[in-house]
Parts: sequence; C-alpha cells; structure tokens
Amino acid sequence: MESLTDQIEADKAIARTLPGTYLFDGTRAQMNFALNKMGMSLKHAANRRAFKADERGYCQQYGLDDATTALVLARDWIGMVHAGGNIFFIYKIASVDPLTMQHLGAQQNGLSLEDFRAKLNAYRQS
Amino acid sequence: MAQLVGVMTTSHVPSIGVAMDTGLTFDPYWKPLFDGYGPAKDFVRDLAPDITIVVYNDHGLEIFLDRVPTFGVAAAPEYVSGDEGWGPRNIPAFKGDPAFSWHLIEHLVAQEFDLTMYQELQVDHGFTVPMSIAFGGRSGEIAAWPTRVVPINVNCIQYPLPQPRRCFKFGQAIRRAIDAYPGHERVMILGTGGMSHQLQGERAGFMQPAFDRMFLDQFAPNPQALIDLPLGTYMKEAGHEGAELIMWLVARGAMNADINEVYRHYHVSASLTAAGLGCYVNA
Repeated sequence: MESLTDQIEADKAIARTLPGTYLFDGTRAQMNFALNKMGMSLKHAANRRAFKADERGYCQQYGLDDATTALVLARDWIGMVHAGGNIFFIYKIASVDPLTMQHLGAQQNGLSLEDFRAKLNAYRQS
Repeated sequence: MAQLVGVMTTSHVPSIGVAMDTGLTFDPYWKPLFDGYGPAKDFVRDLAPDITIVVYNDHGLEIFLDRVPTFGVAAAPEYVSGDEGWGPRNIPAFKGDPAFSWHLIEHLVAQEFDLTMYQELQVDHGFTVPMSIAFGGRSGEIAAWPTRVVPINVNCIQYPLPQPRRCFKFGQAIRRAIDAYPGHERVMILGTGGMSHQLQGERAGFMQPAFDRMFLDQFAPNPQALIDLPLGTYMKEAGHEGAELIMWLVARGAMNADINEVYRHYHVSASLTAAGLGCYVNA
C-alpha cells in the first residue's frame, strides 16, 4: 500500500513537472519571507506613500537582500517569483504603479502586453 | 430549522469588480460576461436568502504567510471591503449574523473541523465580487445588501491546501449545522473562485476550457469524480491558482446527493481567468 509520504510527494510531483510553475509550498514560503512581507505591508495607504518616496530605503527597512531589492526596483516580476515571491503579495507592489495582473502576466511570459492579451483572447476559440 | 435553499458558484476575479465599479459592464470586452449574469441575479432574488454563507479565500488582505488558517469562520456583526493595495471597493458594509455564525462554529468543531474563528474580519475581492454578482445590479449597484452574511475562508494560497475530499466533507458538515439551526432562515451558499487560471510564473495566462467544462458537467451529477482528483491534477489542469475550485466543492458538499442545475454561464476570459458560474437547488 502507498505510504502517506508517497501520496503527498505524488501530488507535489505533478506540480513540479509543470513548466513555469512554482508550487508555493513550505519550501518556497521560507525562501523570501521578507519580500512577501514587504508586499503585504503595501495594503496600507501610508506605507504605499512611504514606498513611493524611497523604494530602496523601504525595501531595506523590511530586510530585503540587495538582489531582491534590485528585482523590486526593476519591477522584475518573474525574477521576484523565482526568488520566492508569492504572486498575491508582489501584486501589491505592482498596484502602487499601478500595473495590472495582465502586465505581470505579460512580463512573466516575456511578451508585450498586446501579445499577452492576444494569447489570452485566443482561448475564446477553444 | 433553517433551510439551505440554493447554491451559486462563481469566479471572483478582481477585474470583474473593477469592471463593475468603473462602469465597464457594457464595454465590448466585458459585455458577454455580464450579459450572462442576469439569470443568476434572478435566481438569487427568487431564493431571497436571509443568510448567505460565502466560501472564499483571502488573497493577502487579512491573511499573510505568518499564520495561515486552513479553514476559518467569521462571527462579526459587520464586514467591510478592505484595502488590498488599490483601495477598498465603494460598496455598503455587510451585516453579519453572529448568532448563526457561532452556531456554525460550534457545530463544525463538534464535527471535528477545527477552525480559526474571527470576530473582526475585512473582506477582499474573493468575497465582495461574488456578492456584487449575486445581489447587485448590472454594475454591482446596491443600496444595502438584502442578506446577512457569514464569511468562511479556505486556504488557497500556501500549500498544502485542504484536499478536495476534505473540502467536500467540510460542506457536508456545514449542511448538518444549517439543518440543526433552530430558526427559519433561508440560507444560500456562495462557492467562489476558479475556474482555470494561473497568475504566477512563465505559465501565467494558462487556462483550460475543456477541463472547466468537464468540471461544470460533473459538478451536479457526479461530484465524486471531482473529489477523487488529486490537488496536483487541479494545478495541472486548472492552473496553480485554479485549484481554488476546491471551494466549489465545499458548496457542493452542503447540497443533497441529487441536485438540479438551474443555470450555467461560462466565459473565457475575465483577464487571466476563465469565468464560470452555476446556480443549483436540491432536487
């Protein structure tokens, strides 16, 4: 009989085989807690103002390392995801600009916004 | 006793809320989606629920990664739309029903669902968008909500998520609690989230209408087929974020084995998300 560990790993194994997908499990949740915490803080309008006034300083205040801070300043969404960012928390950074989820989707795909929208709209045919 | 009078399930995409709040529901991009909501609004109006249980997930409004409850039930007298990072939605506050909420909590914990309990909780788009679709006008316009609400949140952000089977059983336990309530309230459940979508990674923008249609086809007659699918399969077929469909299974679990589908609407897409909606009553 399949062990419980086997069942858990089998489930995760499916996710791990998916291209361009980063299962947000305990391993990833620990990778860059500071980045996600900084993103979460931007739900407060006063923090959004502080971030806008001094992005680098704000990132330092939340303990982001230099590499992650550079990703934030560059709005490198796929870089942030690779570095352990959770899409819902880094989306709050995008909302300051403001950028939409379509902007994030396009950049993560390496596409222009127009081409990414065309890709989304192509599903209407399926 | 209180009575479960019906279930509505729907996607809860933030941009659907933006489209309502900025008057875009007749815009050519959004029109087909909102045209399809009319019959669902009629269905909900006819159900006239005294209480609406909204099964949703928080996306970083109230719940951060410092503590992640798997299941939570709120028992506040009032809930307001919170600021997720782009300002709160300008909609009326929702009236709660603490007596009913505490009854649910008591009866769910007694059935071994060990919950997080809230007496203060702001609600995000996962809650407010389905409420606007169900109860608002074409553009979500509403003077006051005609129902009291109970927010129930399910962790869909950090793995491990609860298993599809567990979500279905959670729904069954909610039903027993409703049936045991001594009042005469009419109760509706809103199951929210999905359908196929992925927001993170190079696979962002992934949707799978064939899987969504299979899910909608099986939802009423054969939920067992959906409960038996591993979470990994939901992520593969519906996307990393599409696994939110487990919250539809909570709503399904609360219904009888035999149910009737009253209405269905499916539209690809609302931004990055394939938008589905269903209206169901017990047979």
